[in-house]
Order: sequence, then C-alpha cells, then structure tokens
Amino acid sequence: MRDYLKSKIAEYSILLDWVEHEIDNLQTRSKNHCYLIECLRDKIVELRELYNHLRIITCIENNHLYRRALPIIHDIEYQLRVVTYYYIPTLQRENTNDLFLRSILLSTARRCGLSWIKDLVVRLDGPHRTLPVLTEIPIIYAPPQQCVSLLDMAGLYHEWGHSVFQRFKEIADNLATTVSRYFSELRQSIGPMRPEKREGRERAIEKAINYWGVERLNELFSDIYATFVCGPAYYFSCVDIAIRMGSNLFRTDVTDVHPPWATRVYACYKTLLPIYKSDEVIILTKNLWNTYTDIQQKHPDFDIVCASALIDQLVDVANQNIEQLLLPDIERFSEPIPDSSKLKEISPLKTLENILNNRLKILLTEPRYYAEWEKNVFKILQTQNSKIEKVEM
Amino acid sequence: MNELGSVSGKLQREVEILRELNNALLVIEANALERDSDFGFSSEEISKSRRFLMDFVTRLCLVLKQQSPSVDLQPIVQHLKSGMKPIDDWIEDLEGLTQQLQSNNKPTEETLAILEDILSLLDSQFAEDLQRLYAR
Repeated sequence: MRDYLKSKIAEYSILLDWVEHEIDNLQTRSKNHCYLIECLRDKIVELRELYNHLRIITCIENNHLYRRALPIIHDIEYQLRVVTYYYIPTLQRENTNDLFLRSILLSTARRCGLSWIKDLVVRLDGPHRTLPVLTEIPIIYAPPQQCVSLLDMAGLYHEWGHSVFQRFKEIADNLATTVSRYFSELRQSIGPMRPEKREGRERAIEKAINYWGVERLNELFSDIYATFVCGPAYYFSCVDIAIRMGSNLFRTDVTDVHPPWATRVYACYKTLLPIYKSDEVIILTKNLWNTYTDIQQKHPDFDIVCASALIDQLVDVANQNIEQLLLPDIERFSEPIPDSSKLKEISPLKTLENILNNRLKILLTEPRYYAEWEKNVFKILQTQNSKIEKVEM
Repeated sequence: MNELGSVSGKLQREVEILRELNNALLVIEANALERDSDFGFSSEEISKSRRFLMDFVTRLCLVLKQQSPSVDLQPIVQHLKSGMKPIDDWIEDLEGLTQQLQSNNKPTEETLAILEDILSLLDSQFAEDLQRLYAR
C-alpha cells in the first residue's frame, strides 16, 4: 500500500501544478468568468488539502490510517475529473456561439427561480446535458446548431431542473418518501392471495422501489420542473424527442437513468396548467402522442413500476417543492398561447419561454411560415445580445 | 437529455458525505494514535469530528427505523437489509456506538470497525458511480 500511495503522491503533485497553471492562463483570457476562476482556485485548495492528508498518512505508516487513503484517492479523482474533463476544456474552447447561448440562458435563470446562479459555462458540442456539481456555476452542453435553431431548445429547461435538484437536497428525500409511502400502501392493499402469488407480488414491489433511485427521481423532477417554467413547449419537446428517438416507450430499463418516455410525457402533461389542456396545440400534441403510443406494447413491469397513481403523487410533490423552495423567484409559465395570425409578424421578443411556445403554435398550425419566423427570431436575439454586450463593455 | 446531470449529481451527494465521514474518522483515529499534530488537527476539530460521527450514526439509525427519509444513506440501508444480520441488531449496535461516542473516551476497535464497514460501503458505491463518469 505504501509504495502505491507514494506513486499517487508523485503523480498528483505534477497534476495539481498543471491544473493551477491552466487556471492562471484562463484568468488572463476569460474576462466573463472571474467568479468561476475563483471557485476553481478554491477547488485547488481543497485538492491540496486532500493531497496533504494522503502524504502524511503515507509518512506515518499505520494500518488504521492507510484505510483512510483510498476514499481520499477517490475524492481527488472525482474533483480532478470535474476540473480537468469539464471546466478547463470548456473554458479553453469557449467561442462566440457558446457565449451567445450563455447570454440567452442567463436571462432565463432569474425567471426560472435560479437565484443562486452566479455564472454559467455553455459548450455547444453535443447532446443536451449538464454538470450541476458547482451549484452556482453549472456547465450546460447543447448541440452546435442551437445557436441558429430552436429545435429541442426547450430541453435546456430540463438541464436547469438538474441544478434545482442539486441545490435543494430535500427534493430527493421528499420524492423518495412519496415512492416509499405509495408502495407501502400498495403492499397493505393486497388482499388474500396464494403464498407463491403473494411472494411474486412482493418481489415486483421491491423491484419497483429499487427502480426509483435518486437518479431517476432527478430525471423525472427535471421534466416536471421544465414543464413548470416552460409550459406546453417542453411537453411538446418531450413528445417530439420520444417519437424521433425513443424505442419502446414503456420499457423500464434499469441501465437507463431516465424513466420510460411514456412516464415522462405523462408527468409533463399532468404538470401543465388547466388553461393549456383545451388549447389547440396541446390537443394536437396529445392526439399525436396517443396515436403513437397505441401501437406500442407495454413492458410487463410498467403498470406497477410506473403506475399513473404513483406518477400523479410524484408530480404533486415535485410541484409543491418547486413552489415552496423557489417562490417568489420562480415564474410558472402561464401565458395563453396567442393566435397564429398574431405570431407571424414578430414584434420585439419577450422571453425565451414565449418564443418557444409561439414556435410551437406556428410549427403545428402554420408550418409554411416557420422557417422565416425562426430566422427572424435569431436575428432579433443576436441584435439584443450585441446590445447587452455593448452595455457590458 | 443525457445522463451526466443525474450521474454527476449523485456523485456530488456521495462525495460530500464520504469526505465528511472519512475525514471525521481520520481525525478520530489520528487522535487515538496521538498523531493529530502531524496533520495539524486542533482540539476543536476533534470535538467537531466526534459530533459529526454521532449525528451521522443517529441519522442512520432513524433511517433504518424508517423514521426519516434519506436518499444518501440508501446504499447502506439496502446493503444492511440484504445481509444476514437482522436490522434490529444493527440498530442496537449503532445505538451503542452513539453512547460510546458521547462518553468522550477514545473509540474502541469495535466502534471503529462498524464505522469502517459503513464507510467502506459508501466508498465502494462512490467508486462504482465514478466509473460511470469516465464513460460519459
């Protein structure tokens, strides 16, 4: 063990110096991220402290203390990965398109109740995803075309949802309690049954409880949150992605942290405010979804693992948590979707949520106007962004 | 809608608890070996670590008794439930452990062994999840 620890100490020493050097370089280049640079420096201080403990443990040569070394190594590995795999390369390669989307997203953060966000790093190089572990400064990734296309942009609100879930640890506990209570009541409601059948039922319930681990609750919460702040546009986006990319919509795949698409879409629909349920675009989207799901076969576990009664309860608890923890900062999307006749001529834009919901209306009711409309949206967004940049300079 | 958000989120929750527990044990063990000055641990840090361990064990007891929810302690709960030792015996051991930590005496080998086991479970889960971050 001692020799191994010595080798790690030698390796980490070089790596920590390199990280520090890269952060120094970034400080001179990244005028937009002064606070983030300070946070990364704090990370280095944390890492140096862990490194120092590792060094002293190695010097003391005691078996009890050696047991403290491996968790320290795992901790160092994780922290280094966050800094060197994610923050440093993202900052090093940040370009004008990344900064354009960053500016749009930062303007949504306040309306979405994310008052603790102090900075944001955006990287346009792949599917939507986020690293929310530095809660004040997450990284959000999006596809490169996101700087000229609104396709899937509503998915960015799902990424904000991960930041909320990360910031308020009680959300996970509250959702987990809901799952536990639901299945406990289900157990109690089982009537007389043959022992082998009862055993099978018990096993199915246990499997369902284990299915709803923290990651899946996080994903479901992020869908509910995204619908809360972005309204019908996010619901439609889920349906659209599920149809384009989903395989079996009812499959409860334990290797995928996401719940089945059927459950995600259901949760989004339940989160929509009643005013939208009779709106033309929601009726169109729901009909489309029903037609598509009618031809799909249900996975045998689906009805117990993702029972609609359970999802209803999770939606209620998630919405209550969002309101309790984020009000008055958060704005629930509640604006009626205007007539398409009023949408063709673009007046100065309001919010990204408005844009995405207007987009939905044009896309579903007047698609022939869509291409021109979207181009104009980006022209206006670019103009607004350059005005903001000038003010900041 | 990739997995990075939920996987890294879980890792962050895990590392926070792992670091606190590992550090508290390091402080207590270094103190028991009279090597706390090597690390520069103050007497305040020693008391703080003892308090942390007591709070942690109390919390785990409540979770095992199903009186309090905790997603972060689920890996331990699931592991303990799947083992041969009945949960009630675990609760009894943990309650004994809290009393020992309260007594201000140096922790015994047995006390440390229980905490070592719990830490080892958390660390294994964390290391397993860390592998998933490699694959992102």
